[in-house]
Amino acid sequence: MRRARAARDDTRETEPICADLRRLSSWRLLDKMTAEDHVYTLGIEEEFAIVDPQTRELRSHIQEILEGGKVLLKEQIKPEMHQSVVELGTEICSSITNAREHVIELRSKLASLAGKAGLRIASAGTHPFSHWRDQLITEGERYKEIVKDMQQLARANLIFGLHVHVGIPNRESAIHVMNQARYFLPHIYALSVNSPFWVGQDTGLKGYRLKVFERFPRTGIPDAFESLSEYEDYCKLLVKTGCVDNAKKIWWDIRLHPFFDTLEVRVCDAQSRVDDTLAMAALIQAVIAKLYKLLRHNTTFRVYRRRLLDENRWRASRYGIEGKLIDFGREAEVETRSLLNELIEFVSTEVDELGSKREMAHIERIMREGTGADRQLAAFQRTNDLKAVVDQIVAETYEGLTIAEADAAAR
Amino acid sequence: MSRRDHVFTLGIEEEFQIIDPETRELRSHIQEILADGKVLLKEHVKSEMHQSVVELGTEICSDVRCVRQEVLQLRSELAMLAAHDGLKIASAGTHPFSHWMDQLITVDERYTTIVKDMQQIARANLIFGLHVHVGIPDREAGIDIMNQARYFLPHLYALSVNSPFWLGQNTGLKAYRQMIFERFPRTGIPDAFESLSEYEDYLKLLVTTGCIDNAKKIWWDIRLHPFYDTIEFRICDAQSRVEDTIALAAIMQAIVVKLHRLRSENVTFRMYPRRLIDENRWRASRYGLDGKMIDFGRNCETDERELLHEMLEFIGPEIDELGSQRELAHIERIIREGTGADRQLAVWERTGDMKVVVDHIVDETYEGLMLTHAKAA
Repeated sequence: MRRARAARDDTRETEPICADLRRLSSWRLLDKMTAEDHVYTLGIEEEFAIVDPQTRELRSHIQEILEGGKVLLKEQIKPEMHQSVVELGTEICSSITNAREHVIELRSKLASLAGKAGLRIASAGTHPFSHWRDQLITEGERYKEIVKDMQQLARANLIFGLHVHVGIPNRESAIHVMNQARYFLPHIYALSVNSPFWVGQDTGLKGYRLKVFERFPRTGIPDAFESLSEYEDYCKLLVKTGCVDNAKKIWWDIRLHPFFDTLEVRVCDAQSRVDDTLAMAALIQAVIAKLYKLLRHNTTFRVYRRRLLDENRWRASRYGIEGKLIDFGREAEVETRSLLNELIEFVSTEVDELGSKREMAHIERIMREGTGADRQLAAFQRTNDLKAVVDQIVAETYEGLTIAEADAAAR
Repeated sequence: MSRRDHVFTLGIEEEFQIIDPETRELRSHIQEILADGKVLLKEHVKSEMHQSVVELGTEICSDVRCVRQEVLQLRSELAMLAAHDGLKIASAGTHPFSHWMDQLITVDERYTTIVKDMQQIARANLIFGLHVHVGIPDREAGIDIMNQARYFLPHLYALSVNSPFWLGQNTGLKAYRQMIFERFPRTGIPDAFESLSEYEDYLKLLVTTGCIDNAKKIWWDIRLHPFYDTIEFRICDAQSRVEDTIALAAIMQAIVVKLHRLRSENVTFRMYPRRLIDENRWRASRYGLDGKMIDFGRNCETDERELLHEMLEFIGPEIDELGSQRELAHIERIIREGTGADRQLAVWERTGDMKVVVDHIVDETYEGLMLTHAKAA
């Protein structure tokens, strides 16, 4: 694997250049395909919390899991800055069905590894109550650097995201697709909100994770770029002036990956159920396929400024799918659910081609039954116990896993 | 209108902490201060969302000397009012240790709405800023000056950093206040606007679509004020000493005058996208004066102190014209001796006691106040 693995989060170890080059060449092969032939490959990265089933607190346990996981998960498992976080990245997947198999397999293996140590895994944008101050930082020069540089912002950055990569035919088109796809990030986020609690408090927001991450520079929705060159000049300037050592330290909600020909959507909270993850991935894939098709037909979705898109981003974070978002074409507030139905309609032509009907049906289920945040909040209202919320997240994280040990562990 | 005909007036708003001198915690006491202050401070005193915060705003002042008088007088009167109840006032970007969860919210329809709307983001927004208004000749020029002045915001912020502590923790940043406020929408450095109409259309759209009820809910680091013909600099942490406040105001005034003059000479400071200026903003917040910032003209990192000297040189003629030499000298003192954050951190290192840090902030806040009044405190 490849791309998904290289496209790391803020805290990832720099990878050997030779490995990068190998991956690069595999992606470049896609250039030779015509646009019609192009396969919108998928890569999915998920960040998990390691949880103690007795206390329901986070457990700083990545070292042991890495030890055990070397054989089972190979390079598809990665530590993060906090030792209670573990990241899984799939191979490059040719289709959503293929991606589903990978995600289930990886989650199952991780659950089994954790189970051996008497621990559980949990997937949500934040842990409901564990405090960042109590977490150990992973050893290594790189993490020391980040903490030295970012101080409390880094230590407090105990959040969990879902990153979806979609392969694209070439980087010039990709920049334009990225510009247009910015519009849909708040809509996608509204569906994925899964972090209403922070350090034991009900924040009143559906997606608090973005508020924690926003304190980092180079986050949020990017500006639109005129061209690939403008983007590349910007990256070069940041490196030259010592702002970043490489372009992986650009942490926008969407980015053209610095090394691989993928668009990476990073806005989503980690999703509890496998079905949720796949549904987000399918929607993202369909949006990108649709926008690329528009481009080939010499049309474009309108490009709006960040200061406008940010209004919707805030609303998504605050209300999830319960609020209203702005339709900037109509210049009116519209129920988020209604806009999401329009979005589903907009990409429906691609869904057939991409074979993601099942996943899109799950999006509709989320719209009917609520987001991860809504389910967490319901559990809390029912029990008034954040430990019960953790139990629910764990149960959902294990839903549909295949390994017997994982099932056993969940019980 | 030629530049000389226009008076670049000044107005200053400062947000203060109300402190219990025994515990050094914040005290939710604005109601009593407002009740007693009606006669003395009139419309110059305002409540904020948290009852432990009080805002003072000066009249429109013709120059720096006038605004210093106003600030001294207002602070002195507030200190006196607080003293009646055995309390103190303190000025810094954050309180070193008091927790937002312990503060009462002011009872008022407006604040109820904000808390309902913003939830924990609003309740946790227990921060203290300095806002400086500079009068401009017309709004078309205003939007142009705002665009250009964006470049200077991180440098102004580097001089003003005064919030290294948050909830009893040394954050490792010189200014943590921005990190709290950034969670609000419509904060930070704005994009440049093509024209006044583009700016006004944007405001209208936000109102039409229910994002805001009026343009005062745009909380950028700098804004063309929606109702007054002023450029409002909102980036600075609240300053402990009166001299710090006045020196920063003088620099902002000189920048506006300078950029207005360039405009009349058909020259403009280069405009950079927000994503670049943000890199310097982060560095200012993290390191204050002690880091490097990027000089985007030269495309290189340079020591912040060196860039600040360049900035002071750039506005030197305007400083002279405006009669702000004393304030310039104070800025040079800050560059030599350190910012409010540096002084807070020095006390913390010396004593390991955040209560002493509060005492230090209080002492600085009272520096230069009219003593017959303030002494009672």
